[in-house]
Amino acid sequence: MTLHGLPMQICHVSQFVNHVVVSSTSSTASIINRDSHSVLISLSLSIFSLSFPSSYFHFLGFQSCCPLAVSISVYVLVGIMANLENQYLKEEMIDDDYVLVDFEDLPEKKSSARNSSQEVDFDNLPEKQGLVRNISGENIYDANPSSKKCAKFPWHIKLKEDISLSDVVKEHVLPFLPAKALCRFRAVSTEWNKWISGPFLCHKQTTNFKDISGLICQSPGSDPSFISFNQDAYGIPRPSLRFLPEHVSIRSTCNGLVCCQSCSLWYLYYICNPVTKKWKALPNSNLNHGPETAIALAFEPTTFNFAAHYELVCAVPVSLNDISVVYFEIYSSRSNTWRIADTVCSEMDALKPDNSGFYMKGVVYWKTLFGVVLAFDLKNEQYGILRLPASSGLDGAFTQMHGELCYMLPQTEDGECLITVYGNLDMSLKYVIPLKPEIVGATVSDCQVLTCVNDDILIILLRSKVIAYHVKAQKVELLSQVRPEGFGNCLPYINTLVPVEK
Amino acid sequence: MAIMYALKSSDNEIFEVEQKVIEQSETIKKMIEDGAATGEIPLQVSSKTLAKVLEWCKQRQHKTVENENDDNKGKRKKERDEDDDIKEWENKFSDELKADKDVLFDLLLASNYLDLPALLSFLCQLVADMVAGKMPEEIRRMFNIENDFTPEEEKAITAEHGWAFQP
Repeated sequence: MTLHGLPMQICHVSQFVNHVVVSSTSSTASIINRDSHSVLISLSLSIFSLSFPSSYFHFLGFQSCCPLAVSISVYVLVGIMANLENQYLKEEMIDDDYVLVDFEDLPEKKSSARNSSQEVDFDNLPEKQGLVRNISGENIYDANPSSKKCAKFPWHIKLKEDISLSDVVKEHVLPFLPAKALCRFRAVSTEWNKWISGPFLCHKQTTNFKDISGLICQSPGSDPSFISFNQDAYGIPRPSLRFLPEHVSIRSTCNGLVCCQSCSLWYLYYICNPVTKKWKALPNSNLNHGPETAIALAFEPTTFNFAAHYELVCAVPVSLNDISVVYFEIYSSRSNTWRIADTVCSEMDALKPDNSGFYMKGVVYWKTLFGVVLAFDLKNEQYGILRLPASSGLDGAFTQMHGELCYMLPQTEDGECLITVYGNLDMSLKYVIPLKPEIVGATVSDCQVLTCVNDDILIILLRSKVIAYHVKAQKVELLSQVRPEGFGNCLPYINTLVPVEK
Repeated sequence: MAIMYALKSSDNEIFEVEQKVIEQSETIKKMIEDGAATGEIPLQVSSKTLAKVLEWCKQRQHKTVENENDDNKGKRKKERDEDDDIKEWENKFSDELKADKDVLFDLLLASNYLDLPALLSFLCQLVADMVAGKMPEEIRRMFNIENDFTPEEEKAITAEHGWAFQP
């Protein structure tokens, strides 16, 4: 399961994009500093033309031996466009006059200033020329000649001094906020309203915001409900999922997207964002899927996944001449089609995967009835089997702790409960966390671990309530009372604004 | 012998810093690469804030140097310990900032101006956690934002996202 290839590429591309943008801005700076006739011509070029220096073509040539070249170049272009758009917004935000208008006036002002450099009255320069002094630098309007030994900043860095706190917050802090807070902050000002409803913030927020915000739970036969880990910050509109055209059961969640399945005869899949109420019905699959089919939604929010593409991976058991095998059928939102992977799993003990899988870093994991984990690597489309420790069934849950895959398993004995955490690829024992009865508040006989938040808070379903157990602080928070019939399904959910294309 | 640079704060205080420490600032790194960093580097950052910035940079620098010197044996255990140390240091750092919002906001502006991506996202997370449960009115007051909605517009937008205003 080597997954290093793609991140490396992306890293390379991202460095490159940064380079392009930086070099385009700094070349703007050097053009302005030059006193030649080319100034006018260069300045009349639009900012977009600056984004394609020769190094870009060199880069494409360099990559052309690689089969990914075409898709990477599309990534690059999208990245450049996204960055430029950002930059455009940034510049627009500072002050229209400051950047966009003054360029055209600049050469004229410079020459008039040079002609009469003796008579320039520094104290009475109009505001606009003060800005020109910032841009065009030392030799014309240097108000402070004694600062010769000081280093000089390129002009585009100077610009950042004037960004106000509210602009930094708008651009950089908002992407770290959950969807509920953002929907509320649309009422802050018209500018914030526009920014929060736009595609760039949605993309940045989906990429940055990673906190598990709550659980989407469903009892058999009823509407799904949401248990928030922080009611002021995280939430979805109620009643949830009523915007879908039919009654559904929740099946899988991933980075803000929710996969549901209709309860009717056709078992159609729906992908939706419960905050924005945008949804899409997937086309019919080639194999027969039912309510028990093992599925997992795989959505990786990255800088280059601007269109928020996702995959739905399904492990479908099929009988062929009395031999049971598992086929992997994958829906891709890029092509809007289903396809069956070449690899076929015929290992007996992996044939009964749990119906809701866990996606992390390019791999999907399903628990099985036989104490093993069926894993499927999306990039290479290969499956693998991980052995779980003996005596573990379906009670445990996968989670991410310290950036690694972990499997948490509760073990109850004489009213006390131990949570054992297994990790690394060999699923060896990593930690044992005792739930102290005096903290939990009761003897524990029936306990299910749902997920782990911030590497520290265990979300646990006891018989009649959902609690958050803070391991370091050794305290318990009651999140929700549970109705006696319990939940059929209870999935961790991240409160993002991820877009869903029809 | 490490190369030193002199940074000048907006209130004219000079800070002598090693190149490796200050190169974490993309702004200054670019300047050094361009050969423009001769003499004092004047920064529009107050000395109080600049001291905080450098405190952060030195801590990060410390970490990367230690990692380079490690051999693989026992590295995992050491990394875990180091992670705990860094977590502890960051907690202390953020507690100080939470207590003094003016410093926090100045630092946020400075990390954006100096282009320190790690510090910027650390602070953004801090500010985000601080404001996530707040109401629009509190946000306007905190960041000095003018409410430019007409009463009708404000009413409409509050109604449209009514669910987000309720617990």
